[in-house]
Order: sequence, then C-alpha cells, then structure tokens
Amino acid sequence: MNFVKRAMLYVTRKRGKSILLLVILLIMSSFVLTGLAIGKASENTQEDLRKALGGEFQVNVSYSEDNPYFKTEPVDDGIIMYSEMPITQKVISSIMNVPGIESNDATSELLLSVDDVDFIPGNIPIENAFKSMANTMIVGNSQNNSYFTSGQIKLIEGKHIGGTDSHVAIISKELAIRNGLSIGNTLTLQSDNSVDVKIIGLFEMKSDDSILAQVTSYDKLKNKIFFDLNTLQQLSPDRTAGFDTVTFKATDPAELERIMEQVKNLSDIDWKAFSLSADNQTYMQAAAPLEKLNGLVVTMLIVTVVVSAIILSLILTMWAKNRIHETGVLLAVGIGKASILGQYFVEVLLIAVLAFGFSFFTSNIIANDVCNGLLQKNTQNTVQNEISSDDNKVTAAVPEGAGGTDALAQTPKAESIHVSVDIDSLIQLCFIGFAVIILSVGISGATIMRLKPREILSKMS
Amino acid sequence: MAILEMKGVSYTYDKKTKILSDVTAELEIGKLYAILGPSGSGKTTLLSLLGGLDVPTRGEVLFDGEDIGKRGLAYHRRNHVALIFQNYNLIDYMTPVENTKLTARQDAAPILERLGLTTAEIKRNILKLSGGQQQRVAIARALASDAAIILADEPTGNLDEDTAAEITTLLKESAHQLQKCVVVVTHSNNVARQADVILKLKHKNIQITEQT
Repeated sequence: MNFVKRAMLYVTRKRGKSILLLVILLIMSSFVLTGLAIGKASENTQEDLRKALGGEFQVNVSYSEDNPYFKTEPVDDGIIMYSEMPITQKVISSIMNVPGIESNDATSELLLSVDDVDFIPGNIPIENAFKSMANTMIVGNSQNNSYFTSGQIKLIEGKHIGGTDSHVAIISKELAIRNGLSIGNTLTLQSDNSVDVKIIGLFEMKSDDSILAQVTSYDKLKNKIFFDLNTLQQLSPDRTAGFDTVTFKATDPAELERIMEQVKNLSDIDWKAFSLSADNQTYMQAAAPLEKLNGLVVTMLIVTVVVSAIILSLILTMWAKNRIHETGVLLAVGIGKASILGQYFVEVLLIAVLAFGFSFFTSNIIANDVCNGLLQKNTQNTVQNEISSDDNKVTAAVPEGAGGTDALAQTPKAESIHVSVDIDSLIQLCFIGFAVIILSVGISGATIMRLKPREILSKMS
Repeated sequence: MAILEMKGVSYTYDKKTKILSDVTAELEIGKLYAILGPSGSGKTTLLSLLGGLDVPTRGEVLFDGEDIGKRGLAYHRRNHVALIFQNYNLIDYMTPVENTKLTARQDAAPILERLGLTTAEIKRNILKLSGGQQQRVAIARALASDAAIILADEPTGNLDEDTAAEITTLLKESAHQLQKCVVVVTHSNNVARQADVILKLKHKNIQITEQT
C-alpha cells in the first residue's frame, strides 16, 4: 500500500481531525487569499490612478535676476518684464524626446488690443484704454490646454489650434454672438504689428461666472482669445517667439523624478533662463491611502503566513506525538521514513486543496468589505493628517486640479476598490500554502523521525 | 541451511549495561524457534537485533550470508522479516484487510479467511475485533509480506489459553507448511513445547536446545 493510499484512508477515516484541519486551513487560506487579492486590487487601482492623474512638471521662464536674458523696460505707468529667451518650440521638442513624456501644454498670456470687438463687460470699472483689450492666451496645442482638459471650457464648434496652425484663434460662443462673428471670420490683434487671425473654433463655459466674482472685462474667461505661436511672432517680430510656461505630462507619475533628472541634464537647453518644478502632488495625495493599504496588506500577509506556519506546526506536532504508535508500526513493518513523511504531507495536502478551493469563495465574499473598510480608515487618517499638517491643503481624496475648482470634482478618488479573487491569486496562495505545509510537516515529523524504530516501539510499550 | 545468523553479537544498553555478550546462533527455514528467559534477560533485544530494529554494539547479524546493515535495516525489515507483537500493533484507521495490505505482496483477503476471519470481519473496524482476531490479522500481515522470517514478541501474551493455542498452531504451521523461519519470544511453556528449537537466554548468552 503506497503512502497516498494510506493518506487517503487516514483523511477519510479520521473525520474529526480532518474537519478541524480543514477549518483551520480554510481560515488561514482565506486570510492569505484576501490579502493577496487586496494587494493586487490596490496595485491595479494605483496603476489606474497613475494613468488617470498623470504626473506633471513645469518649465517656466525665470523672472529673476539670475536669468541673464531677463529684461525690464519702463512704460508710461510702470515697467514691463520679459525674457529674451522664452521657451521655444525647439526647447519643447528637445524635452519631448525624453522617454516617458506623454504630452505638453505650452502657454503664454498677453494683454492685447483687438480691433472692432465689443467685449463682454466685467464688474470692475476699467479705463477706456483697456476696454478694447483682452487677456489672450498663446497655445501650442489648445486641446492640451488646461482650460479645456479640466472641462472649464469646451470646444463646441470648429476645431482646436494645432502645433502647425498659423494665424488662427478660438473665442467664446457668447463673444462671437455678441459681435456677430462665426467660424471663418477674422479678428485683428494689435501689438507691435497688426495681425489678422481666422476664427477656427468656438468654446462654451461649463458654468457661468459667479455673480460674486470681481473681474475686469479683459480677465473674463468669455473674452479670452486663444491663438497660435506664429501669430505672436508676427505681432512682435523683434522678439523671439516662445512660451512662458510649458506643462509636461508624464505617462507614469512614479517616473517623474527620473524624467526630470534627464530633462535637467539636456545639454541643449540653457537652464539659466528657465526654472523646472514638479507637480505629482495630485497623484501622491490620491495614492497615499492605497500605499498605506499596500503596506498594511504586506504586513497582514507576513503575519498570517508566520502565524499559520506556527499554528499548523504546533497542531501537527501534537498530532504526530499521538501517532507515535502508528509511526513505530509502519517503521517496524519496513515502511521507510520518507514514505511515512510523504503520507503525513499528502494528508495535509489533500485537506489543503479542499481548503484552498473553498477559500476562493470565502475570500470573494469578505475581500471587498475588508479592503474598503481598511481603505476608508486609511483615507480618513490621511485626510486628518493633511488637515492637521496644512489647513490650506486640499485633502487626499480631493486633490487640486490645474483647471480650477471644477477639476477637483473630476479627479479620480481612491475611496473604494473593487476586489475580486482571481486564479493568479489562487495560484500564489497554493505556492505559499504548500511552502507552509512542507515546513510544518517537516517540523512536526522531525521529532519522530529522529528516533530509531526500536525507541519508538519502546515508547509504544 | 541457515537463513539468519548471529555472529559474536553483543549489545550494551546506555553504554554500560550489557544485555547480550558474544551470542552466536544460526536460524533455519522451516523451523519454529522459541526464545525463553526471565524478564530483563534480553529476549526482546535479541528479537530487535534479528529484525533490524536496532544494531548490535559488536558482532553482526547476517541474512542469507549478508550483513543486514549492508543494504540498510529498513530494507531488511521490508523484505526479509515480518514482526508480530504482543499488543498486535495494527493501524487503527485501517480495516483488517487494509492492515494486511500494508506490506502485502499477495492478495490479503484469502490469507485472512484462511486464518479464520469471515468476509464481514475483514472489512470491519479493527478495534471492533477481539484480541485473538486482531492477532490473527497481525499474523496475516506477516504472512502476506512473503518475508522468510517471522519474528513474534509474546504473540500469545494477551490471549486466553484456547486462542493462544490456536495462534501457536498457526505459527507452527507457518514454519512447517509455509517454510518460514519463525522466532517467538515467549514466557509460555505451551508455546515453548511446540517449538523445534529452544533458545534459552542465560548469563547474557544463549543455550540452544533442539526438541524432537
């Protein structure tokens, strides 16, 4: 009779012990499988968050004395500041070549006069000279502009301004109606030169300005005019055309530090003219509860595995001592020690296979509740920590958005995770479980297997 | 021809208590041997050495002319000897037929039936059998193993007189009809009278007496 057959006989005939072991292994495997499933779900959610939020860094023109290209010029009622070295398309292209950068949002703001346009009035009185002016925005690609990506404004007609467009503009639908303008009409922008731009798109605001908001007409979003870099070059041909700020979005926020380090080392960029700053706070804040959860899950797994191994070893050792008679008999009839240990191992294994199978269902039932309970506790702790460390900061679940308050509500939140136990986790459980069983059976069997058959038979009598 | 030999076998317990000293004997197929002696004289030790449950401090035990330690004691126990104990030493979660199959090299059920167990009894819980029936299962296990040597330690010690006589007869038949070398440790004069050879332990050695 081989050891598998003996093991099967033991498991089926000693039902009480088998059921007790099944319950113990089921509890242990449910904990381990729940931990593995939560860990996996948490990792997946972090991955989703990373993709959804992205990490960003900004290159800005440096307006400090350290910048050798920084200039000031007196004007009638003050001074204007500018840099002779703006962020050119060449600089942007060079940075975009660094691996891991998904897109960029290049912008400059400029107060410009626009001929024959009746702007929507603000609620702060302004001088007549400013009434024909608007705070315009030069964009590399309006589709990537934070006003559009945040959802504050939405293109409702026409098309976006692309990198190769020239002498084009996007204005608000309301401004267009007020001035009888439509797509295909032109606006005349005034600076050093006068330049005509063709309206290629109309946008609409998601919500109207608050009646309490104090704003001049030229700062009103409905009066904003988006136009391209070539137009800027033509407006001021004596200056190098470029942007003041470019926001680069990394594919994976976790890579942000590496990307920035590479960007800093780009030799064709004169970093005296620019400053570089990171913004992966949004991701870090949103992912903080998940990272804590991950840490908790790893701890839970280690504790469960160690405790399982100890409990299982103790139980099996206790039972092995009760089986000293059987072991002695098996040795006396010539059955080898390896075969006897093999029998003990298969006995636990047979029950473990059942327990692992059942745990697939029990873990599916408890994993979601356990995970979201832990996550909510972590989120609350993180929020409390954020509040206590900085009263002005937005909480972990509601990070700052680039596009203003509307973006806050749209930022993905890690308040709940859907956990489902999959086959991969079950396979991992099997590996962990079998390792624990081998260890426990080895420990429990060692005490008996060290004895000689005659010593066992003496103990028997 | 001797199947089992002891050559100058000595055994010292705890490195100071000498149990056996320079024992030499030859055991043959087809004979029933009875080891006699007072308690503590070393009867069970002698049986353990013959069965490969322990190793002599000095000297050697040979099976078919070869030292039993050469291929390992487990090999000797698995292939050459079968043990029968006073307290039967059956596995409690196995039926009689399963216990017999533990070491069986032949069909277990006919052996059990030949030893007097019914078809129902051989599938019953082992603990529900009488002492005599359990000892029959132990003998069946020994016979089913096809081992040339059967070593029995007080096999009738827990049995009533009639059952003990039946078991002794079975052992004697095993030696004579099945051509086994049967060695029985016993206190019983009835068993000793049935033996072909008496090995009497005296002064840490044995005195061999052939019976006719």
